[in-house]
Amino acid sequence: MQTLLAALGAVALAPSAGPSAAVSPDTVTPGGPVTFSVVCAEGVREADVAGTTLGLPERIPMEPGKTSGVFSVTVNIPTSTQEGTFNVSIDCGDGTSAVVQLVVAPTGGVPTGGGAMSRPPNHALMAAGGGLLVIGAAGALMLRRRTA
Amino acid sequence: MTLLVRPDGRWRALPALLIIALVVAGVTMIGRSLGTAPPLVPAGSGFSGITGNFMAGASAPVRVVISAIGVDAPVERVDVGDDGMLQPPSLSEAARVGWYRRGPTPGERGNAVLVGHVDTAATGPAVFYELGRLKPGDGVTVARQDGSAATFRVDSVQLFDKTSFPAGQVYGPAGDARLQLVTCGGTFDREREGYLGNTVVTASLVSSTPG
Repeated sequence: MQTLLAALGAVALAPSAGPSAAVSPDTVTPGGPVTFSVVCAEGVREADVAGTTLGLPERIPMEPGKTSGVFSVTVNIPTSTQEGTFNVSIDCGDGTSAVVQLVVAPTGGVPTGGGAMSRPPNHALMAAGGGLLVIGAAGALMLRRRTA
Repeated sequence: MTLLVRPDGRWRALPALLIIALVVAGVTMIGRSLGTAPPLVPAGSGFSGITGNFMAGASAPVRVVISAIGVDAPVERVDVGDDGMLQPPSLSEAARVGWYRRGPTPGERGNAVLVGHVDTAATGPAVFYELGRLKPGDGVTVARQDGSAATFRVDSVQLFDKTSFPAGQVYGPAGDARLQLVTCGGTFDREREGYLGNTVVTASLVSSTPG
């Protein structure tokens, strides 16, 4: 019995793998919302996101979830945040922390064309071409009549 | 009507030729009147990339070679502009490819982004004009500043509307080394002077040579 208790104590005291954290979506454009979440050790009362690198408050308190030790918070990335890859630290109240990677990406698509190789349909040219075909057909009909 | 036929009832050559010329001109004009667009892209295929495959160090790209479409071009650094959009090399340097400097370098873990023009109004086809013709399995080699080279294999070729540009796929985190080649595609909007879509080619690292 003594050894069993000692073993349990050792498991409880052994350094765990630490909290697991996530950010969703992991890619956002400036101004967009992201949700940080973390699973701290059971019984931990609070957790926060270190927002300084993202241009957010230094400590963003997270809201506790239904399960003990689980927290999440949704924030908008400021429009002034410079694009790039950010390693964001999420800190549990017991002093442990985890790091998530968030990419702040350029907005929209990439303007990569001047348009020389693309033309919309030219209706005037289409009509003119059709007119020439009609004249040609009429001429051919006339010739056929004369030769017949 | 004697202009059109000879007195013996046979066709005169000149009017007959004139009619043929009219028909040819008419068909040509109709043909030219139907719009054109850069090469179409096939339906995208799924990813086949190996996970956890990447080079150790960062080194900026200096040249990109895509032999399947005859591309061998210098690479310069590009960044986001004041409007928050990625700025490709200037239209006067449409033979150059731009590397998004805030992302990973080609060969590093993550998505390295290379952008190039599809065409310019002044000079016609540009460096990535044929990008949409690439097929899964085609090779892309990037020479890096430290003398090393990274070779990628195309996983997918896709066309996206710019309003639904896949930021996560192109810029997002990735466990292995990937390359995202981006150019314009789809319909050209005369009034906004830009293409409405982006062609995105995704490739995975298959081999590398040290510097």
